[in-house]
Amino acid sequence: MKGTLGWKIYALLIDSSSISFLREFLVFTYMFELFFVPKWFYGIDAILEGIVVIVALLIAGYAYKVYKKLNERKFKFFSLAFLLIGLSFLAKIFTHLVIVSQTIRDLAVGTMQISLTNTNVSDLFYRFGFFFHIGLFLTALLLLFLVSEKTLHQKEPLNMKMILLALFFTFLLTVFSNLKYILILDLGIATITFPSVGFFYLTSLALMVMITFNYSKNYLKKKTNSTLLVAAAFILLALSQLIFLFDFVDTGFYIGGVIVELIGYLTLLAAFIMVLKK
Amino acid sequence: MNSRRSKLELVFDILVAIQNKGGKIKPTHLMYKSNLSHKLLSEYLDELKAKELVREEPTDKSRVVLITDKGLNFLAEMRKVKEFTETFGL
Repeated sequence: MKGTLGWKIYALLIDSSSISFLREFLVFTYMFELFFVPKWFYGIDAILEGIVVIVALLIAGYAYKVYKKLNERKFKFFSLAFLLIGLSFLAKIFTHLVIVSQTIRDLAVGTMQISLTNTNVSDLFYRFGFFFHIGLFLTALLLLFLVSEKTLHQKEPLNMKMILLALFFTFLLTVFSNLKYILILDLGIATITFPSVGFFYLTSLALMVMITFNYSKNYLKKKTNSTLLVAAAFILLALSQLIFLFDFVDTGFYIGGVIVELIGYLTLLAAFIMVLKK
Repeated sequence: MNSRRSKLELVFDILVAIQNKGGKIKPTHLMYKSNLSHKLLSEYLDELKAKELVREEPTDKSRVVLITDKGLNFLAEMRKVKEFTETFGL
């Protein structure tokens, strides 16, 4: 297993190497958590993410109103991107509810007496919740990046092949991020372990950085308070993805990520309110 | 330059040109102010008249284009849309 020539990547199953891929994805033997969240924070993060849902849906709603008025597809895609962000956070809130209800059930029945069926149903809801959260969030960021790149504007022909290919890779990454796998990067002198969900954060961080770059360019071009707020908001959102990346090291990173993410969306809301007050 | 302006920007420029002239402007002046060809301006004015955002009134020598109350409200809304478009880099 020791690698001396470059990096060797081993994908290892945490619990058992004999379970088939399909069984691994669909059948669960215990409540497996993809995100490392301190138990006391469940509920609190659902409230904070509820605020994110409201902000995302407000922006999506206004962009859709503009689309209905002007019939320009860039507004439709922008609206769709924020709608997907809102829905992805709703899916995440749903998973919190699954955890909370599971914890209450555990306390009521006694941890040692949890029936296997109940656990499996909760686990199934939890995994599908996160599958939708990851899938919808990555699709939203992809759309937002394409809109900010102005590739979806009316003047440009819609490159469906490119969009479908990007969506295909998003889907693959969503499936991979939901697996119960961990990657071990054997460097010969040291090994780095990395949960598969980390690839979701890495991808969202990469997309956020590219979106931030576009909005920073937009600020440098326009130099208004509202464009500054939007650029700052996306810097914060990219930073939150970077913090989430270290979630598996310590649960404190998860709390920090949620708070920075919320501040990012509130900054976006401030820019939106500034626009409406003009 | 005109071909690079979106429909939103063109309509916005036409309405702003009328508003800046006190809500009433001659079509020839509007053509220069909005930097549009006669053909393109006529097309846009027909659309704006159909939507009751502007109306035309005959004068002694020719005619003038007037912005309606609906047009003024639309312009205020358009300013917000323009700000939204610029803010979110659309």
